[in-house]
Amino acid sequence: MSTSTPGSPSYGYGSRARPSGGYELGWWIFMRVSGVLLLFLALGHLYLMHVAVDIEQVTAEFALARMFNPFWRIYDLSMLFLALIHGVNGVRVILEDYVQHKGWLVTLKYTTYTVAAFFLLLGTYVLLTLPTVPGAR
Amino acid sequence: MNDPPVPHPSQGEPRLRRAPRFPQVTSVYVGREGQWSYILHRLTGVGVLLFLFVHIFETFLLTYSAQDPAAVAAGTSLYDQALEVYKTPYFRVAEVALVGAVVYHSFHGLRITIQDMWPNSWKYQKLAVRTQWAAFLIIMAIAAFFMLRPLFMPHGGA
Repeated sequence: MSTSTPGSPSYGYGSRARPSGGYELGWWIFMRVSGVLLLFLALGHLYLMHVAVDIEQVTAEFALARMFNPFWRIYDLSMLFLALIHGVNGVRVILEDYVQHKGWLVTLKYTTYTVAAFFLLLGTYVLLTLPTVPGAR
Repeated sequence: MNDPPVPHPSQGEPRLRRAPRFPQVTSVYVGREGQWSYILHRLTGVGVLLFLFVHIFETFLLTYSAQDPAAVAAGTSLYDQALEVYKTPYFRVAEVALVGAVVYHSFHGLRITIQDMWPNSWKYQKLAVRTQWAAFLIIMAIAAFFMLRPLFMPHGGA
């Protein structure tokens, strides 16, 4: 259930109200927990890779060397899963708020899920198959 | 004497400056800072998700490039060629916009998470939104300075 069901318009001064229960409450809690985790993971990643390291220094050699450290692999995998699921649920809430036509809503939601699942699998494949030691293929 | 509970911002009638132009459309701008803040939260969220798709695809090129260690050592692999696009001046500015979107989305999300834990704080939403913007502008001024510095000082500066 979105906040803008007929009769209770979402005027949205900054947040949707806490759902009373069920899956929606679970997702509401997930968004906040994953959001706080991503605050550290994503802002840490942005600081390390986009501010402290200049883009000129980023090469295939640099990116592969980073993956020899299992810590960064786990860090990136956590970020990939949390960010994509957080993002997809966010898009779902937006679609439910704005798309009034039932058929379009279902189409757009499942298109979003499919695209996101594809990129989640692609990202997982990349992170799990990159060489773990120098020189390996 | 207990004060009446503070209503959640998404509940109840909005205090409008004028009648809504499209009353049948929900989630429209109603003229207060929390509303802009909330629309920007959604826009930055969708924007970051779209960038994530590009970012995952570009990382997939690294898997492909890893098959050719000689090209990796020489810096001529497909991944290196793709990164050339990110190294143009336009993309440096876009990179600042990306960091700005993530920082904005994080700060807004953190604010509503904190405010929902203490519902009485919705009384101070205006102050909270302004604090959020101040923190965002300070962080972004510092980040933009360091990220754009190579554009203005191509030889390392100082």
